[in-house]
Amino acid sequence: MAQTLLAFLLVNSSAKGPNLVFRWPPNPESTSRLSRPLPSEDRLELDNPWRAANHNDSPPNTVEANGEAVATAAEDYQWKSPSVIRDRSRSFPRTTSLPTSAVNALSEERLFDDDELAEDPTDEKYHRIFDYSTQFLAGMLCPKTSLCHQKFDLVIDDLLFIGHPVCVNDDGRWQFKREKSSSGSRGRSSINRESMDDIKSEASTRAYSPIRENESSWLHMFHFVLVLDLPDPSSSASENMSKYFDTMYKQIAFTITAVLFQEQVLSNFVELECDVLGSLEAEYIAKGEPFSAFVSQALEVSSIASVMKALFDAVKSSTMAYITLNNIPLELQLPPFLDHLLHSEEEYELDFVDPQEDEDEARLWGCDLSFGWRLPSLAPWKSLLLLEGVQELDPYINLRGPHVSPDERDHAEGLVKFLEVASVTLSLSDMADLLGWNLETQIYPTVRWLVHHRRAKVVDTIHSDLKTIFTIPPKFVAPLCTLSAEFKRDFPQPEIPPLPSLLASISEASSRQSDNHFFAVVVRSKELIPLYHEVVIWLLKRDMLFTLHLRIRIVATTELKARVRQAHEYKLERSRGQRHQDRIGSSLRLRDQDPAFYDVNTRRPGSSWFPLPPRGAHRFSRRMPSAESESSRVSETSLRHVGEDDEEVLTDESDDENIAWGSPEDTLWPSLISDPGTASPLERRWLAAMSEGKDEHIARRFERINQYFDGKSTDDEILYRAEISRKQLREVLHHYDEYLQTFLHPA
Amino acid sequence: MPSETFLPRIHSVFYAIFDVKQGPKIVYQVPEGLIATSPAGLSSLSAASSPKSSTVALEGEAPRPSSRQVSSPPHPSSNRVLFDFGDISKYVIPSNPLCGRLVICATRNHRIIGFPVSILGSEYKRNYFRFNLCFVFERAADLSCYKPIVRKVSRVLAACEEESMFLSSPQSSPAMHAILEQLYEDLNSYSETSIPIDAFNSIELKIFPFYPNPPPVKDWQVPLALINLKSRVEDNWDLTVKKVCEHINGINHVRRIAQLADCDLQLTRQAVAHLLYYQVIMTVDIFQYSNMYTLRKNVQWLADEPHVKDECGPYVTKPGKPIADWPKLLHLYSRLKPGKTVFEWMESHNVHDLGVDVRRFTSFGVIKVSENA
Repeated sequence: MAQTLLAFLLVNSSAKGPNLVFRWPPNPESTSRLSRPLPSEDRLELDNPWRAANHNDSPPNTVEANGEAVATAAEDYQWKSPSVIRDRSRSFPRTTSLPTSAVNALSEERLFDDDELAEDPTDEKYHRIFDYSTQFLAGMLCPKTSLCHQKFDLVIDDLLFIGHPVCVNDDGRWQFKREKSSSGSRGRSSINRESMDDIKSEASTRAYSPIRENESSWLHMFHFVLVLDLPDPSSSASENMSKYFDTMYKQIAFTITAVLFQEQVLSNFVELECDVLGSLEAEYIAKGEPFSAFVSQALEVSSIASVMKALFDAVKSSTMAYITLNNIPLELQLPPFLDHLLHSEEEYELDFVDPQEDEDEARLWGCDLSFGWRLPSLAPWKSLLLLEGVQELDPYINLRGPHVSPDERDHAEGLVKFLEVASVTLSLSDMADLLGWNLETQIYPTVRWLVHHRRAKVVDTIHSDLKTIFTIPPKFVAPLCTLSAEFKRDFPQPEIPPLPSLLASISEASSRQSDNHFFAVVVRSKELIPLYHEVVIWLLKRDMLFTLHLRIRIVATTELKARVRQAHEYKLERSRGQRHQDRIGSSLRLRDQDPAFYDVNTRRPGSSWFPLPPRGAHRFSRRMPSAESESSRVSETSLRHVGEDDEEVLTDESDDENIAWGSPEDTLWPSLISDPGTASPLERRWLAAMSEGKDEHIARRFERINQYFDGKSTDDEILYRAEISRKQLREVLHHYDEYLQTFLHPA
Repeated sequence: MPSETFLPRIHSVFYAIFDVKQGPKIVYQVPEGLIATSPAGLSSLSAASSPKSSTVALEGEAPRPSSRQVSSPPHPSSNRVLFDFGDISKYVIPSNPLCGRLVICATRNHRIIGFPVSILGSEYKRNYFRFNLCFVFERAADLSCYKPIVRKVSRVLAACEEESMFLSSPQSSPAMHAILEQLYEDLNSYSETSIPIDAFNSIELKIFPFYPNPPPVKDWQVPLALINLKSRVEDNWDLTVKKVCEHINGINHVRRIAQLADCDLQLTRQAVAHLLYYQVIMTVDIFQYSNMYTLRKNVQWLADEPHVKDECGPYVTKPGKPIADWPKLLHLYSRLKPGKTVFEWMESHNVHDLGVDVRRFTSFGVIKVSENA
């Protein structure tokens, strides 16, 4: 909704000087405020001694009356989030006093205004905006040509002006910038260059000659400006604020300017529009018509004026703006969650589905959709929910212009096919299979396009029999009573319970250990599945359902660890009994390679707080002597190293050699194997031991999929990546139950 | 200085006036030569300033101002030049409607913040004197903490000018160079400065980082200290904050604290809000056995964090009881679900026998999740 946006201005500059061509809304107002916060909002501290002294003996109504007087006086100055006062501001009388005059210590100076003459009231609205004369403000918004063709921002007290001024080149002609520009000699920003190239390439696809032969061009510069009300810095973190303004610039100011600039170069569009608006204004002033009459007439005769209005309305209602500038259709919008940046995080803390901040995710969505959209991750196992309006969506709508390539027509036909197939029960990879499309190069771009145009959203794939576990969000988009009424209207069937009880049973279900999916909790009958499909989609569209995902972690239990250690001891013992000499040799080699081995073992009795099992203590005591005799035997073992028997011992023990027996990792304390995919040798030994005594095919499957049991991969992801069925996964979970922990939470 | 990591660095400080003959011009800048003044204005600048520097020399003041006059022309070869003054002069020395307002303008890579002032007086040739002291930062810098600084500097200088013609008189104005130098050095190095100007005026500045306001404090919220508050309490602290701090233990809610500390409820709320602002406490819900908790997404990362694994056991175990292992505790966390009260959860998992302090167990989870949210 872009709370901060106050107005759009179009400013130009010619030989006659700078001029404000048009503005929308006609009478924008900024909110007045103190430059410093009030000392206290509750006025307790205003006169605490007095309050204490008169605590009991003053009639309470006087105190209140005083308090209210203070409050109303202060109210006008205290900054409030624009959303709070939005409704009120519409009915605000136009303030005639300078808003900050009471605030700034040096304001008296401004009473002396040299470039301003007394004007009659009809005239005033033409010539004043934000308490500046339009002439003056236009001058401030027309920078030196060296500051043109780049991002412009100017802060005056609490107003922020953002734009991208463009001007004629050194020869006084409107031309696309060549590679080398006079102003860009230092630190040319890559964004500017890139986008100017875009404009160029866009223009080159059209068969116009770049410059018309009209040397009469009087327009030197034009500047499409966004005026924003600078939010109070206390309302949000500052880096968010700059991101916010940058998004406004990129999505609106830059795009509009790019199109206007192109049309000015190609067909002198902006100059003609300025001519129309300028002469209309002069005519209305001369006739003494009120300003509002001029504005309504301007909206009819000028396409720039009507575009400014349409764009402003769309931004304020946070919808897409479909506008047409000189027959070029444009779709502009701001990210839906942009305004959230202006509020402190606590207000939205309850959004327990955190937006993805992952860089990889952002890359998948592309730069347009990565910021302020709060999109779930784009993954093959996700699905797509088509939103209202998609049926009426005419894929050919943008293809009626004069410059359509056959490619685009193919795209449109593909889109129609895609829309027919798309369903929440199909994952994106299923759709790719059905359509025979490539996931990365065809499915994802289509999804991005639909999401960007707010025709669809990415959701978790829903089980076709509705055996999906859902939970409900902490907050709803609308009051529950409104939603219930709508729900009742859309689903009057007697089988369907009222919305509150439906939600209650969903919410309550997740505490159950089994049968907690939607079918078992709500549907309960196969005949009702199609009907409840509609219910689920209805809820999903309003963000009232979140899929809970299963995540799995592996625990190495004490019992398991003891078993593994025992087996190791046993093997060690056996080899010791058979080849006593070799054992010393190999254990020495081991120690030579890994000094930690020796250190840990010798320190163990003193430092270990975990009681050693008898066997471990036993091993320890037996090893000491070999350590003592180390020096005397080194030469002997190194000589014996080449023997054939040794080879066998080495291969047998080589796996053990990598295992950090006795290291801090080797305890009997239960632990998580946090990433089985990159398990250490000891962890691998534990994993292998878990499969002892299990069915061979189950054990093999466990071995294959345990890499995903890291607590991060969701069940959907595991099924997709490991290419197994849900039943197969369930089997593994059942057989390895004692070593697995499961987690259910939203993605 | 640790503060340098989040406060933006000043690239340049300059002082500009509206010159009767030349219009807007930079009189002094520190460091020198970073802001290019146009070549046309340059020759006239040195011509005009020569009598001024001679007066200075006559008075026997430090040779610095005159040497500055020599070195002030920009070196064309130097690539250190930040931007051209001509580009932004209309925002630095603007006409009256902008005077007395905070103005931030930008060039391609830099941002210039200033507070232009216009002082009226018949003693001036044009009946007014306009000046501006500006700071130059990187374009991306966050300037909210400098806004009050800029306002104050201009306010003090305007007062000096009104009292003693400090800026406009040729005798005292060279002192501006030293003031700029000290502003540049001190604010960049120490984030604070104290510059005496004359017998009555001085510039006292300290830069404070800007935090967003905390949400309003509710009576039923439970403040929980994130640092050892009691060790930080000093004698000159606010009395209410001191009293309130004593009762912040992760159990008492705001209203209860007000009762225990015998403080006004509203003042208690404010004290808690103040501690929240500095992010030394957080607020949690009142612990009750009828509460319900659920897992959040970040549990998938937190479960692997060494600081979570290592701290959890000792924190949540009752004194004298053996510490439960992390997989066990994690399992307990994973069984907290909506629809299941803490009491029911304790019953079904024998939490009592494990020696786990359930209140500390839930608040540990809440703290870690919100720390990493």
